Amino acid sequence: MRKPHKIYLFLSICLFAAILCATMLGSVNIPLQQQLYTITNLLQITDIPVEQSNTFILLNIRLPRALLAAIVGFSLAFCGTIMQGIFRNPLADPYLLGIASGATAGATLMIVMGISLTFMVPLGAFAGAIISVAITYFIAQSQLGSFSNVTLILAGVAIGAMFSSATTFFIFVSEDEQLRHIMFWVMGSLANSRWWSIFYLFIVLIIAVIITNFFATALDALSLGDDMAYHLGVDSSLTKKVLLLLTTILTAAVVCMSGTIGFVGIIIPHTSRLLFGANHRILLMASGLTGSIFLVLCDILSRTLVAPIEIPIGIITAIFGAPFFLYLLIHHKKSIGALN
Amino acid sequence: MDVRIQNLNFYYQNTHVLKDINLTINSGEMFVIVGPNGCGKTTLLRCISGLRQSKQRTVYLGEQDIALMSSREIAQHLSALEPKIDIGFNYTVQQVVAMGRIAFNTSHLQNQKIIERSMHEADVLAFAQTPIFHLSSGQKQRVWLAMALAQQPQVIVLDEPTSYLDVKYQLQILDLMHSLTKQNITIIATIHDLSLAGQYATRIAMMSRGQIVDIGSPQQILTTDNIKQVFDVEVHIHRENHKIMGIIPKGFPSRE
Repeated sequence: MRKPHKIYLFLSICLFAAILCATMLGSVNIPLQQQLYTITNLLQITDIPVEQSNTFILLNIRLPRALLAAIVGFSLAFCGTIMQGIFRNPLADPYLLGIASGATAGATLMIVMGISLTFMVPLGAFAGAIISVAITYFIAQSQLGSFSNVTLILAGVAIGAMFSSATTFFIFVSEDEQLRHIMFWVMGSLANSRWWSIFYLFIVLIIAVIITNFFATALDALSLGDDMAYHLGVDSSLTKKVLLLLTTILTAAVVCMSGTIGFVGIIIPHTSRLLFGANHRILLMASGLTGSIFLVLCDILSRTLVAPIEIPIGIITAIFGAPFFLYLLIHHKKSIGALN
Repeated sequence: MDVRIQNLNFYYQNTHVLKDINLTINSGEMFVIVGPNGCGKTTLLRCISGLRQSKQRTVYLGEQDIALMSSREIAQHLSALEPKIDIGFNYTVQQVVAMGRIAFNTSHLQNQKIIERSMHEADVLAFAQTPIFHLSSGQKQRVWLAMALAQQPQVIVLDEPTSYLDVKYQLQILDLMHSLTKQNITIIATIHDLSLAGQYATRIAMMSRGQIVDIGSPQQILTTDNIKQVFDVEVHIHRENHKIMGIIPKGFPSRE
């Protein structure tokens, strides 16, 4: 199955089904029929009475949460695919250049300082993410004199470690209530989904997808290394700069809404590459859609497995994703990129 | 397309890697550069392909200064292969060859025809849908060549194109290169095997320590004295009707 429209259609149907399950399942089950009536009532197509509490849960809790999961999953897998493409490194993920550490440090600083306005903590996370990557770029290019993959990765590791130690310090000086809030950023959560945040993320995602589409073939060429990409007519430096900027902004936007959800951005690109091939023209979208499905399903499990307690989603993504990925790895080890 | 190099000097950090290189490589020529490891052959090829650029304007593709051309513009005229190519992900052979069309805005149908013809010329059409990781080093080498051919270049720059290949495919690749010169395509290559260089080259440049020490026909360049001077090896040269048939180190195989 390599025809892009068939792949996209199949994955879109799966995603739609996953979102329906997500809106249906929970502490209160909302049957599909009631969901349909709620939506048609809202669109003023029908006027069938439905339970007000169900309407509230569907429109204000479940649907935004499922859509946030889908957008976050798409973005992380999409960015992970780009990062692995740029760095030709199987361990590359959206957090490679210190974004996660920077965002967590920024959010934690806001919490510890007691700035608890709704938008200030995500803003701190966004600023932290951008600052950490900016420092990484600056050190790689200006101080180490190179924009090479190894230089960027090493600079990213060092900056990430610095911001992680800052976070540890903020946790050390925080109070109990603040600590609970901090854990949201460290483990990631989709509980803070709001319609405005979904809209804002969706716009950033669409822009990133459109621009990245122009660089899909350049990403293919980069898989042969920077020098061969040049011989094929690709400006690898420009491609990397544009894509790293887009990835940084999109990942930072995601992290400031959902904290740092691990695993999606590294495993889904590999899995998608095995299932749909390495061609970035197809892979980028396919990987994004697979990431959406995966995170929506993981979110259902995180809410329902030991309800009413919610398991942090990062735990679910690792517990259920890792064995599946290991299965693929064992059965298709010759096909995993950069491991040969 | 001619390639002209004028007073090329290239420095890497503080090392003077290429010193006063002057060359004119004619259209349809198979121009081979020989020399010991580290003499600057690869750097010279990279300067010709625009990957490394000296501060002065020194390399011309036809009448165009390569320093003023974008990588895309260069790729529309010249294809080049690095000596060792690693691919990060498991593309099919056809997908890899299709990368040769990235610099072109031609239609999908036209691209498909060119890709198929390139795979046929490099003898990789039989495994067009095979994942690249499943191929041997020699097969991969032919795939890279098919990718370079898909650019429909007027100049092809190859750094050790016969490495990894068994003798059959070495000859097949060089025969293919030779046939491309008949279509007026310029081939510029480094070849370590002096016998093969002697048999296939139109002209040979012998390099040593960043300089070209001699340029001429294989018969003029591949002499025992030149080889002794540049490689520090004494050889027997086997000729038939003045054509070089083989170059064998003296004392081979025991060298006692």
